[in-house]
Amino acid sequence: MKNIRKILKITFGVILFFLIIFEATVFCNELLREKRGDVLDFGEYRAEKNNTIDVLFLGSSHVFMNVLPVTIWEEADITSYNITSSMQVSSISYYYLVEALKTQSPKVIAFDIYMINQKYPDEWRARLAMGAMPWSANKIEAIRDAIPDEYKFKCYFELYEYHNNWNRLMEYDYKYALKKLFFADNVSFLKGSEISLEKISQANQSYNYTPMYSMPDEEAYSYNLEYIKKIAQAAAEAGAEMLLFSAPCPNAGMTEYYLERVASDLKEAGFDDIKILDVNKYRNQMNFDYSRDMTDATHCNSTGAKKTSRQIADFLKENYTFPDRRADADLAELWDSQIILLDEYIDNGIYRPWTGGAVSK
Amino acid sequence: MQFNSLQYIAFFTAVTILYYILPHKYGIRNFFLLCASYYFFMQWNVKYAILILISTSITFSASLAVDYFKLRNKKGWARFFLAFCVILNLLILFFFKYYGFFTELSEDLAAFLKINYSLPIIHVLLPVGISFYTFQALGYTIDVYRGDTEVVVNPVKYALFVSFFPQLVAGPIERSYDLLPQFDEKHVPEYTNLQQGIFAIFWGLFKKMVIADRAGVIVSAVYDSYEKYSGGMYFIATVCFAFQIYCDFSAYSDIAFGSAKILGFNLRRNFQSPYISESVGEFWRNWHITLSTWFRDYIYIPLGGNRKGKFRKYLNVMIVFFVSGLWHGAGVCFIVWGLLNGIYQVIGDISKPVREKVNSFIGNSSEHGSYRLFRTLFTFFLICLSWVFFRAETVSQAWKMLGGMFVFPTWTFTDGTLLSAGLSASELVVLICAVGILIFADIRFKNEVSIDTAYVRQPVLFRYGILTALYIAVIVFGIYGSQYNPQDFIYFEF
Repeated sequence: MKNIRKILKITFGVILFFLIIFEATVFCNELLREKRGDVLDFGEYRAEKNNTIDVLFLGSSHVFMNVLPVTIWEEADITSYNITSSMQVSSISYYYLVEALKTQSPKVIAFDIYMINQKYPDEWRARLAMGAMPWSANKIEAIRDAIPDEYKFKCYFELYEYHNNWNRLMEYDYKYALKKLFFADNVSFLKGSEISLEKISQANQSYNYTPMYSMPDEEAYSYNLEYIKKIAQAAAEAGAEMLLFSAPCPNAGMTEYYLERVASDLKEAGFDDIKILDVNKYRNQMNFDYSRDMTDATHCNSTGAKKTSRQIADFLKENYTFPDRRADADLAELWDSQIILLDEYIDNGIYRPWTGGAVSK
Repeated sequence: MQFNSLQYIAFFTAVTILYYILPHKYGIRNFFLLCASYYFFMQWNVKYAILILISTSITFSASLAVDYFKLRNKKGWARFFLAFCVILNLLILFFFKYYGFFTELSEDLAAFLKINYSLPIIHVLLPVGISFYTFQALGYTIDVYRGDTEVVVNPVKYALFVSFFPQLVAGPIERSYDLLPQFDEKHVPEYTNLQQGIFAIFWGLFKKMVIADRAGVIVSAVYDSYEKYSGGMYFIATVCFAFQIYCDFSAYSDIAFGSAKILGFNLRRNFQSPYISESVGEFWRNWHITLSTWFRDYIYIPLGGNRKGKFRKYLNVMIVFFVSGLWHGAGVCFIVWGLLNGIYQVIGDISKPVREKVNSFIGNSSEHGSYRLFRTLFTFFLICLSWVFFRAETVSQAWKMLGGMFVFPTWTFTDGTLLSAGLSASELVVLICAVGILIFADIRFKNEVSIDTAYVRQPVLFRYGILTALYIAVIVFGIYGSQYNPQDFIYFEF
C-alpha cells in the first residue's frame, strides 16, 4: 500500500512537471513568436461557431491575399474561411484541412493549385506554418510527414529560433500570449485573409496567355498530387465537394494547364465530382485590370481581392447548394457587422488582429 | 554529448527509466550503468573509451596487487605496485596532456641555449575528463594502500566507479569510500530525490546558459582581441570571466549532482559559495572542493602539511598550487595562476599577525559587516587578478591586461564601449539580474544546507513556481539556438 502511494505520488509529480513544462513552453512560444498576418490564426478560426463555415479555401498567399471571405458573404450569403499559410504546399494544406475539419463541416473545400510545383516551403515558412497549428497528434504528424528533416526540430521547438525575441517584446505580445493561454480568441473579420491596403496599384502586370504543355517539375507534381488526393479523400469523408481553383494570375496559360491536369488526374483516381474555377477566365466579366488590381504577379490589392471574391461568390452560388445562413439571425448579424469592419480597415487603417483593435495610420 | 543538450535529456531519461526497471541483483543495474557510461563517453570519441579502459585496468589490477601484498605484510611490494600504478597513470596523463607543452618548452630552452635539439612532434587529441578520472582512480589505489577503503574485486563495479557518467567528464572527483558502497545499494525511485535532482539540473542549466555563456560573450570579445580594448574593459571582462568560470563549472557539478540524485546516488559537493569568502584560503576551501581536498589528502599532507615548520608548510602550499595549475592546463599561464594563488596564501599567512594588530588598533573585527564585506570584495579582487592568467593565452597578454586594468576610465560605462563587446544593453541587464540572483543564493546558502536541499523543504506551490521560473529563464534567456555555437563546459578541457 505504501509502495502504491509512493508510485502514485511520483507519477502525479512527473505528470504535473511535464504539464507545467509544456504549458510554459507553449506560452513562451506564443509570446516570442513573430506575429504575422500571413498564416492562419487557428485561435480565431476556432472562435467561429462550430459547423457554420460552408467553404474552406486552402492555399498560399495566392489565396489569403486574393480571397476575402467577408466579401463572399456580402455577395452571396456564403460563409467561408481561408485555411492558409505563406507558401503553403499541398502537404501542409492537407494537415491544415484535417485541423480545420475538427470544428467545421464545410460543403466545399476549395484548393488553389498555384503551389503545385513546390514540394516544401522554406525553413522560415515551415516554422511559421507549423507554429500556427495547435498542438495535437495532427500537428506532430504534419511535422513528421511534411517538413524536411533539417527543419523538424525547429518546428517542434520553435523557441530554438525565436527565444532571442525577448528583447523586442511589446505590450501586444503579452496580450496575444495571454489570449492564447486562456483560449480567449475572438472571431476576426479577416477570416484568414491578409489584405494589401493599396486600392490602385502600379505594378504594371498584364494579362498574358501563353499555352503550357508540361509540368516544370514532375517529381514535385507527383508528390503534391498524392496530397491533393488525400485532400479530396478528406473532403469526401467530410461530405464536402472539392473545387480546384486559381485566383488571378497574369500567366493564365499556366493556371489553365495546372487546373486541367490536376482535375484529370483526380478523375483518374476516382474523384469524379470535381469542379474547376479559373478566375482568369472571368476577367472581362468581373472587369479585372491586371495592371491596376494586382500589387505583383500573384497578389491582388484590396480592389482586386474584392473583385475576385465576388466572382468566386457568384461561382459558388451557381454551382453549389448551401444552407441558408441568414436563418441564423445572430450569425448573419455578426457577418454583416464584419463587412463594415473590413471596409473600415481597407479605408482607414493598419489593423493587426493580435493588438485586439485597429491601429490608426 | 553535453549536459545542456537534448541528447543528454533523452539519454538520461532512458537511462533512469531502465535503471529502475532492471533488477538490482547479480549486479545487473551496475552493468547497465557501466554500459550507459561508456556509451556517454564514446559520444565524444570512441577512442577515449580505450584510454579509460586502460586506466581502469591498470588501477584495478594494481590495487588488487597492493591489497594482496599488504595482507601478506610485504609492504615493499605493495609500495612498488602503488608506485607502478601512479607512475603509469601519470605517464598516460603526461603523454596526452603535457607532451606538446613539454616539447615546446624543451625546444624553447634548446633555442635559448643554442643547442640543436628537438623532440618528435606527436599530435594527440586531449581526451575529455582524463585529469578527473585519472585522479579519481589514483585516489582509489592510494586509499587501498592506506587501508582507507576495501579493495574491489568486482571489475564491473570498479569500472563503474571510474566511469560513472554524471561525474565522468568534469567531476566531482569522488572518493572510493563515498561512491563505491553506493553501487551496492538498491535504489528505488524517491519523490524527494526526483525533486531535488530536477531542481539541481535546472539550477545548473540556469547558471550555464543564462550566466556563463552570456558572460562568455564579453570575455571572448575582450580576451580574444585585447589589443582593441583598454583598462576598463579588461576589468569588466575579467569580472565576467570570474562569473563565467564559476557558473560554468558549478553548473556542471550541479547537473552531475542532480542526475546522480535522480538515480539515487549522492555525489560530493564541489562548490560552497566560493566568491563569498573572506580570504583566499577560504575561497580555496569552497572552490572545486573535491580537487582541493584531493590535493590536500594525497599531496599536501603526505608532503608533511603544516607539521614540519613554517618554511616546509609554505613550500608544500606552493607545490600543491603549482601542481594545481599544471593540472588545469598544459601552459605557463596555468602554472603562474596556480603559483599566484599559492603566493596569496603564503603572504596571507605571513602577514596575519601584522593584520591582526592593525585591525585591533583601528577597531576592525569580523563582527563588523562592513569589514567582512571589504574582506570579501578584496578576496574577490585578488581572485579576479589571478583569473587573468587563467584566461589569457600568454603571460605577456596577462601582464598587459593586468597593467591596463588599473587605468579605469569611468566613461567605459557610458560611452558605448561596454556595448561594443557583443552584448546589448538589455542583454547586460539580464546578465546583471541573473548574477544578482546567483549572489543572493550564494549569500543565503553560504553556511547552511545547499540550495537544492532547501528547495525540497519548500511548500509545493513555491517549488513548482520556482521550477517554472527557472525553466522559463533558461528557454527564454539562455544562450542557445542556431545563431550560437554550442558552448562546451570549460572544465571539459581539463
